[in-house]
Amino acid sequence: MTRPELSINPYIGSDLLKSLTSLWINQALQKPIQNKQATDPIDWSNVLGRVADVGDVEAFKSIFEYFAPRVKAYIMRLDCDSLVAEELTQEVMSIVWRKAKQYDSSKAAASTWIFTIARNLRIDTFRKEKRPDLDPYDPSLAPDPDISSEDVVFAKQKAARLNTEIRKLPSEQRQVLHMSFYDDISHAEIANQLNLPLGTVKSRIRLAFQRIKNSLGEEL
Amino acid sequence: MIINYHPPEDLLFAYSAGDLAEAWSLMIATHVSLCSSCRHQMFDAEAIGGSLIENITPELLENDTYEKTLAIVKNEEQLAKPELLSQSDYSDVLPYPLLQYTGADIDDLPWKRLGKDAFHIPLVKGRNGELARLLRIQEGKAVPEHGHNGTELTMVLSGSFSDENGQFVRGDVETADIDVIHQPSADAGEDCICLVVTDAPLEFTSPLARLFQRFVNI
Repeated sequence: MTRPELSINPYIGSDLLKSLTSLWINQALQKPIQNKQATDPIDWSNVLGRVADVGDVEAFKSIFEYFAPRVKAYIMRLDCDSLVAEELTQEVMSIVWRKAKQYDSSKAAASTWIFTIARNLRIDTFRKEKRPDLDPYDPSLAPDPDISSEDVVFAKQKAARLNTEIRKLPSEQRQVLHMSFYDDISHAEIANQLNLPLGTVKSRIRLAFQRIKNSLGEEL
Repeated sequence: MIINYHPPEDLLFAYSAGDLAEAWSLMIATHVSLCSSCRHQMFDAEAIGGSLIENITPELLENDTYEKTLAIVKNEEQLAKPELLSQSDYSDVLPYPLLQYTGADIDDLPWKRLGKDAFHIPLVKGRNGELARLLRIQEGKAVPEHGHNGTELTMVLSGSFSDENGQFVRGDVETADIDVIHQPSADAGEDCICLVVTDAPLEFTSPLARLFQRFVNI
């Protein structure tokens, strides 16, 4: 995806008209793209659902184009070199394809599901530890309360509204959230880096969650 | 099943973000298997992770990343598919995350004696002194009274135990910090099996128990 470049002619005079025209064309080109993003965000959960249901290769390709550069950026938060991040990104995206059938759009947004795959692989690789994880087929799993169609709508709304809510957080809460999710460091290490008491870090994270939950809850 | 005692929220958040050490992660993964309310809280926390990964500044990929990914997919399709687990591969007592560590159900485990009335099986030893173990207290018996030099989480898997802070049943997690001194005892009727995670040695009240402590790692 290339963005149209704004070319301004440095020679003001006879070329002014041409320059203004190119400015106008560029703006006209940019506008529909911006509008599209603002009013009609791509529903990645549907796209991933098509990968899950019918093995749609085109759908996978568009998931790849959107998420792979983000997965790579997430992995590179751990100061690894670009080559390692490349290989892990390929690994994560191949798991996305292979496990797509397990994806359940009523439970999680596509971004959430992909995040958990990238997170688990990052733990395996960098921490050299196992990641104990629940098994959705485990018969001892406590049953979920029934999921109604309203819950599904809510889950999707949540995904779309979450960004806005995270941006609205006070910056000190957003900061600890970023450190906790992007960087593989414990609450104690966050406290150390920010020179704060551990209790403050824990309460900022708790407050951030509470705030996001409350404002999403009020939507209904 | 109603669960009254949950692990501290911050552990659930750290687990969802991927920051939690393995021994504590085992506790959280096991608890969310049995507790649907904590599981949903975990899903919510993971949704924040999803949103953050969507909003990260993307990195440029190499030209052939997509092709290489497809090549991995093709390679793996040629490998034998792992067989799905059948009902008998699971345990009634040990949720799956725990079963992966024990490798066998409770009656087939090599329980080691721990004091007079209890048995244990160490599962995970972490880098910072964390220790996850299964503990089996014989019915009607108590473990020696102890305090804590750090945090101790105890989750019931079968049977139940009681102490100064209440009665704990399957799925319940008791959190004991430095200021807690307690003496859990298994209720009558059946042995109490728990998952216990600590990050520092316990502080036994009785000199005999302290002496014994030198020989086992608790």
